[in-house]
Amino acid sequence: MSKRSIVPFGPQHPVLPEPIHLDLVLEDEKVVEAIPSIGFVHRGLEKLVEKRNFHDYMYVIERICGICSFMHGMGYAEGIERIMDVEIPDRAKYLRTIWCEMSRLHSHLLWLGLLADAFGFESLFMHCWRMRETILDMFEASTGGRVIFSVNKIGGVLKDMDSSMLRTFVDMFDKMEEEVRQLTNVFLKDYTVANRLKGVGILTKEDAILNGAVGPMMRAAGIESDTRKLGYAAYGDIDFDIITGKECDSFARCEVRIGEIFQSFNIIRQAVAKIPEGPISVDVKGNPNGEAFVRLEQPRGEAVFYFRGDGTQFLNRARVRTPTFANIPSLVKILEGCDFADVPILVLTIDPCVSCTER
Amino acid sequence: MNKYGSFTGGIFKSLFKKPATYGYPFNKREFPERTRGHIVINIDDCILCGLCEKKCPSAAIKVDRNKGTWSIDRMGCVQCENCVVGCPKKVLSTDVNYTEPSTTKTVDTFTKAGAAISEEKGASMPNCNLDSCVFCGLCAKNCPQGALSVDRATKSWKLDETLCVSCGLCVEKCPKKCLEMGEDKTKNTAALAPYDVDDLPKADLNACVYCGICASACPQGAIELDRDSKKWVVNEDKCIHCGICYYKCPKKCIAMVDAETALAVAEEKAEDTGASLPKADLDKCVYCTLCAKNCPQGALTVDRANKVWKLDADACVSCGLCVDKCPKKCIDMSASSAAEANEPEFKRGYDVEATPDANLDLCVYCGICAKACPQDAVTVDRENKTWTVDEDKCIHCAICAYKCPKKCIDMK
Amino acid sequence: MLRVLSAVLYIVFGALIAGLLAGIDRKLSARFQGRRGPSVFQPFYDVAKLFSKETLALNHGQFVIAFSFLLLMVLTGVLFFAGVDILLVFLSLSTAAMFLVFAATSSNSAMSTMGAQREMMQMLAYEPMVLITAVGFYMSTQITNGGKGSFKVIDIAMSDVPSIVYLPGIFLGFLFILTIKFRKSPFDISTSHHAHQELVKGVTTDLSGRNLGMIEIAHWYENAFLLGVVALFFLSNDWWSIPLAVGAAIVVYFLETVIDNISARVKWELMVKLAWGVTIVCGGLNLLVLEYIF
Repeated sequence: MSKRSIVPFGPQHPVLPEPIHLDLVLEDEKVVEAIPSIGFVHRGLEKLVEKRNFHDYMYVIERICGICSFMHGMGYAEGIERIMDVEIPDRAKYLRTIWCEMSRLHSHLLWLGLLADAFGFESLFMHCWRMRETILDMFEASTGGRVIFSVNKIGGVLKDMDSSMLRTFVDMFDKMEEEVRQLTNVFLKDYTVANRLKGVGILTKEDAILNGAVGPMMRAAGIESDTRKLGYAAYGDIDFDIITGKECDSFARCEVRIGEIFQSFNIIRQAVAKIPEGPISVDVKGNPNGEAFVRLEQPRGEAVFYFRGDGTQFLNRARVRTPTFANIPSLVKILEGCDFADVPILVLTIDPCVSCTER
Repeated sequence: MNKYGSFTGGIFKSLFKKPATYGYPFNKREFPERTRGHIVINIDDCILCGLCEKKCPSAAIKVDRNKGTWSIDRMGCVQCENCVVGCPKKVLSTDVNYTEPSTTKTVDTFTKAGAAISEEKGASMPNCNLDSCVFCGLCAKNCPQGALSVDRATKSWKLDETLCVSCGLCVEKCPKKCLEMGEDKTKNTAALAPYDVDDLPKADLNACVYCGICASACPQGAIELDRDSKKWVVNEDKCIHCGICYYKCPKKCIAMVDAETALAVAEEKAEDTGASLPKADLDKCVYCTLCAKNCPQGALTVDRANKVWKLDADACVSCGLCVDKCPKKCIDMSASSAAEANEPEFKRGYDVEATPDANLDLCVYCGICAKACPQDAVTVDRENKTWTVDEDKCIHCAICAYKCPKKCIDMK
Repeated sequence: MLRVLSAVLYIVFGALIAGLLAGIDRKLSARFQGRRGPSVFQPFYDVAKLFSKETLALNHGQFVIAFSFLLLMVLTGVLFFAGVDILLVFLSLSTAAMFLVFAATSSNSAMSTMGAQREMMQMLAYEPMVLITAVGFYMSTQITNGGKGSFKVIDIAMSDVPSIVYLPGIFLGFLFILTIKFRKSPFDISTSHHAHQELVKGVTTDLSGRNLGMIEIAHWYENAFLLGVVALFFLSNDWWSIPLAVGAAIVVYFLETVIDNISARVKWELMVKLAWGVTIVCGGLNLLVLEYIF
């Protein structure tokens, strides 16, 4: 039996800019145990709900995460609208759907880049991020922000995209799709990439269920589940299939996310074709009194929001169960017995967002 | 299946393309129109109300009214635009250029020109007309500075002038429209409402005509009124003692009294009050129909064409609203019976089809007739000395003749 | 005289040229990646900055070790450009590499210790090929000089025909291990050019300030020397072989940059397998051919 050593991985680790900490127990270069610890970027955003007017809290909850910022804002808006029984205009629902899918696109492209970086493929990393930059430019043109969009409000959205803007976006997506296809083919067909991904970090269907995996992590294990099928925002009117994988390994997770990129292009095209004219928001009067649960499919998986109001302008409670948090048990599971060199790849395949996890 | 070097084409393509990055910040970027770069303020129009400071999620904005300054911590600002959306005076906006990078935290401070705030603010502060104020407290709730205190119990409405920022939000929010911005503070000390804060309304059923105006004016729906059974009841639980019914009653028969008196069993209304009925002086009447339109009971019929003014005495509740509304002041409550009310008394000095004609020798072209004409049928041109009447428009009401200060208009 | 001159030129210009090449490499990589990239002088700015920084070392012996690495690397190049025995040169190279391993293990950090282990694994992978290269040069001189073989660099460089003619397989094998020596993807497993690796910076994790600066300069000397070996394959006693050799070195360097940009980092098991496979197939076959045919 070889001597065991414990290698700290994070919270400040250059391979991933997320402050998660793992104590890796190594035997030679094999990981026998991984002990995660979180709490390095806890900011108490949920507690702040008691101090901020519920309209203004939108700007706080958006800042839970810099990648799915839009979806956090939207989850909050949907929750409060549900409590207050507000029906938002259809156009607002479609706009939210389009922005949601743009978020997913940029999140998955970002993830592909980070994955490429984790296995030391720097040029692929840079090209993925170059594509993502185009989407951030679109966000800036449509919402005014590149990372935090501040475009949701309770009762709808704050900014509209006119038909010429939507047209331009769809044209840009058409052009992008070809380029993204070339990039993703490298992930799917390159020898060195396959060498690092195939058969690495297998999470079987049973383990995925047992550990409560969500999002692409779960779908790559062959479980067909996608919260978008609940039909929130305009997803009820959109036709799409759930993308699943078979092999349960890192390559399958990569494949699922790549599939979702092209699916997002498709959903945006459908939404642009169907978007109705009309107002983008309704006035909301009064204060929320009651409670609501909201489930959203974020790029990283299912997020669950809970809000409770007592009729004052301050909510009693806001709670977010983020997908990364749900995926940590699965991560610990796949880390056991892997090579030390595979740790960055495995940590990335859950697409960790620690600022979400710790709020 | 998997081949090595599948990205070779990709990297060589970008070798010969323009790079996607550039030398920011040396090369300036072109921002789209909606970019939220940094917040700018039009300080001259700012009233330093401090709403932006309250709205700011990151507490980056500080407003100091005493110094007349508005300052923003550029590194603290998160560009959410909440202040821009919430500014009551719309003096805040967003510029597309980002805050300049810096090694220190920069606080930008803007001072309002002529910072003699204390003098200036005297110019405009809310005044409350306590005669109409119902002390609902909405103004105080909406005051961004907490400068107003309203106490329902003691009927006090107080303004802390050192805190007031003259934003005018209280005036906008007042449901009774009894607030206005101005220098005159005298109204603030006007007589208090002539009743106690716990007083309930009580109608003098002898005078009450059951017109229902009080019930429809009550914001709480606390007054139950039935014309047929002659019922007038106030619901003690619902009443908020606002006194609106007291002010609205056309007969002035509602008094605000203490609860015990109010809830005491009302004495039966005398069977016949001998109430008076409206009667129009048909000599003056121009059949404008305003009385009929305002009658809560629809008891009046006015026919302009046939010059008919008719009262349905059974429907009339003697509320007197028709008297109040008559523009010619030709209605009084002098009739005691239906017959008397409808007695025809044609004493008009002109035929009903007559159109006005001015004696231009006397006319001074003052234009009063033209202004008074409800149909704009009269045109007066002072410069060319013309006076014309459009016969198609004229409704023969003779208001012009009554209004003429020179008495130079005849109905012919 | 020429030999002394070239050795002095190496000491003065070796690091400068290799540093500049590193800058060009970074610029080129950036353009491959769709970026604008830093100035070609950026490596010099970086090293200058390292020398201005505080040197934090857990073990003060680290300075001596790092300095020895630099010294031995310069010595390797000096020996090579002075034209002495190539076996001695390669021995010196291996000794220098061991000092890098010493520098890494001197700190007790898990990252750099593991990096040191992997560095040794890399040496294990490339050393056979290095030895075969030396043998190959000897055999090629044997052929060109009429049966009298020589390990001396000057003899190899002054042969009648460029060695590449007889050593194409060994040249390919040497190119392969050059990727390991240049620490480029797919074989940047002990330390990579940027720290996005599970080992952070591997062997150089715990080096800082002046010590790290010396290691960087040593790497430049190493690269200059390795490109010299590449050039050696093309040198003969004809004048035109000099531009040919310089051109070949530049092409090889460009090729390494391309390989860096089209591959993911592999694990050490695959590296050893591939390196030995290439060594046996390319190097071994080439030697057999030389032995039995010529």
